[in-house]
Amino acid sequence: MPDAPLKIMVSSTVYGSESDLDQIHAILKGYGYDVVMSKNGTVYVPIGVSNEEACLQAVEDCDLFLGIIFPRYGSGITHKEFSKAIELDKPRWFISHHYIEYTRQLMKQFMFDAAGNRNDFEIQRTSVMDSIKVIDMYNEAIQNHLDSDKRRSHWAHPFFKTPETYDFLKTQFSDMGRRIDELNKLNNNE
Amino acid sequence: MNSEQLIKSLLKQGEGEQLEFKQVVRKDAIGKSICAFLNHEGGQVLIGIADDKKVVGIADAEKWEKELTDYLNTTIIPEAPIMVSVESVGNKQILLVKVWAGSKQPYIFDGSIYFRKGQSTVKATSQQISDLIHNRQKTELHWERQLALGVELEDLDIHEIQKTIDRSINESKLDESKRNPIDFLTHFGLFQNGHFTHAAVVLFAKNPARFIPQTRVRVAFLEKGKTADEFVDDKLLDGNLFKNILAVQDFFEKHLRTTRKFSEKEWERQDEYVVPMSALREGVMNALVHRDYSLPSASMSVIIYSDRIEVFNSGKSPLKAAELKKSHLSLPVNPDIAHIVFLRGYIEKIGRGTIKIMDACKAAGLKAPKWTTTDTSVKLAFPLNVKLGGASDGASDGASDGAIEGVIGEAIEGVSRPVRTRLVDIVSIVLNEPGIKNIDLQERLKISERTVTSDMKRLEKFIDYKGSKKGGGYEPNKELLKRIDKKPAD
Repeated sequence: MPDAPLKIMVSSTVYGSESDLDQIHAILKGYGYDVVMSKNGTVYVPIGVSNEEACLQAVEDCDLFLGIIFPRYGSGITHKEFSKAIELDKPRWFISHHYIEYTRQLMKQFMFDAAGNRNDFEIQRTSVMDSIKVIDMYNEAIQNHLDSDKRRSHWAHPFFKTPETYDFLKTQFSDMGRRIDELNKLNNNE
Repeated sequence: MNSEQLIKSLLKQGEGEQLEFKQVVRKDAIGKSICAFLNHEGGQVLIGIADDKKVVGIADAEKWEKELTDYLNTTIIPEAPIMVSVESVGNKQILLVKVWAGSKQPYIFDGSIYFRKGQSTVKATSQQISDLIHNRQKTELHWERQLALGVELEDLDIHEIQKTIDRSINESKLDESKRNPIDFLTHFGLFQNGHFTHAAVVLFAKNPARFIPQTRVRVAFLEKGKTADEFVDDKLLDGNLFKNILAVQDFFEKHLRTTRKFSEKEWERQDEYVVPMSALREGVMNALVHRDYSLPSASMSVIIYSDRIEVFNSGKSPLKAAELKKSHLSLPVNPDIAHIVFLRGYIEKIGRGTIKIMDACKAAGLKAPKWTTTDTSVKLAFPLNVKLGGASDGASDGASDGAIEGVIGEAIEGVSRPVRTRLVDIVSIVLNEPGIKNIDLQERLKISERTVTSDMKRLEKFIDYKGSKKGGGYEPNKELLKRIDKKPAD
């Protein structure tokens, strides 16, 4: 076993059953990771620092970043965490609910002006999606604005039911030793 | 088998993959074991048992029962049906904690995933976690968890949902924050990303048959008509599971009330039905909870014949008929439905419904009910001691009163009407319960020992007495069986 566990941050809007996120936390912990998740109170908030600042600091401190996109936008902190991870070019993975890609295709016709810039289109809150800003989050994650050859770590794995995300965790994270080796190589090359 | 016998057989069995003993209530250790059982094949923890398997009992068992229920329901994630009960062994009280195999693996206790390995509970390894995830994908494909598209909140019976929430909170199986129906349904996986699941429809829709026609339940009463057998009061129930339970119960109440007048001595007699209502309700509940709902051709029926009551449901029982009679903890066919029915208080003892049915029938002096399972169906038949107004259907293995009268013609020649009826009743009982004792017949027919003996003299051509003077009983002989065209019982 590796000496120090990797620190993985899981950033997600709380959606559906909270116990789903508890399970994600336990699975990654079981695979040996040090898991940071705002939901579980594992984001450390120093005195005088806002919750949002603490979350963004957590993004900076993590080794790996996992973003989960549910069709629910919530407060917007998750969106900021995503932007930060992309800006810092953290090794990152995104999993996205099927409805997101579907809605993106459907709503493209309303969301952009002729020049391709985002307008102020917004949907009314519904039981299946609360804000079109989740599509903005998703577009950022998949680096929609870049030419395809310039995109990096832009793959968003689709899921429909939350337990499908566990299967993704199994494939990507069950072997922590391998991820540590990869990270070491990456850091040595830079 | 009563509770005490069950506990004793568990003690004999000893600790293993599905069983653990604890001397005192150590909440965290119990939590870990229950979590591990949920991640494996279900199991039970007995508390109040010393290392040498001696029953030492625990003080304040009732207080602990509540405390442990609260504790396990808040610490085990995701929520699971966990049964905590106080059991008596001799003059000692012990606690029993029991779970089915879980359907939402991996289960977590205190942030970690636990696993059962032989007699011990351990933190799951990476490989075990991956296996649990693999299992979970399979459970998710189950019909019950698929989404029922087009169902909206207005289609659900909010009152029924609210009743379930209230009851769960009162019994500390649910915390206060889930009072809102959507939060509640989401919490139990019945509402997912804006859609209700099939389980939600079966449990709570105002009219589930609108979305899933096979949720209907047929109830019928077969009466012997003038020219042929006919079903009177034959109808389809199309309510949700909870409404159907009540409707079936009403149906039983309507047709199964005994006509016997209450004598002064008997006035306190609790059960006024030909089969104890508790056994019938349990049988119907099992069928509603464990039936296969997935195929449009799936069905369930409750039919009252003159000589038996049959509860039929399509679906493959994971257990053989013989195994059904024991305590079992395998994953329920419809775990989400079972969980809600458990919250509602209809499943009191996990894995013991069938034992409860047998015990209730035995206590009422009835012949044991019979389960018949095939690859696609489960049938539970309660034989009746008293004939109901109707007659058996031609295909059944029972013989109708008319048929018996014809068969034993010479024995009833010239006797009065009441004696004739009694002789027919005796033959019918002996046919259904070969080996029945003189004293049981006295009890059943409210007649004296002398009357039984003299009636048997009249029936000697058809009924033999076998066995010792004290322990023996009456059996149909070859002549009777031949005439009634029935092969001797094995």
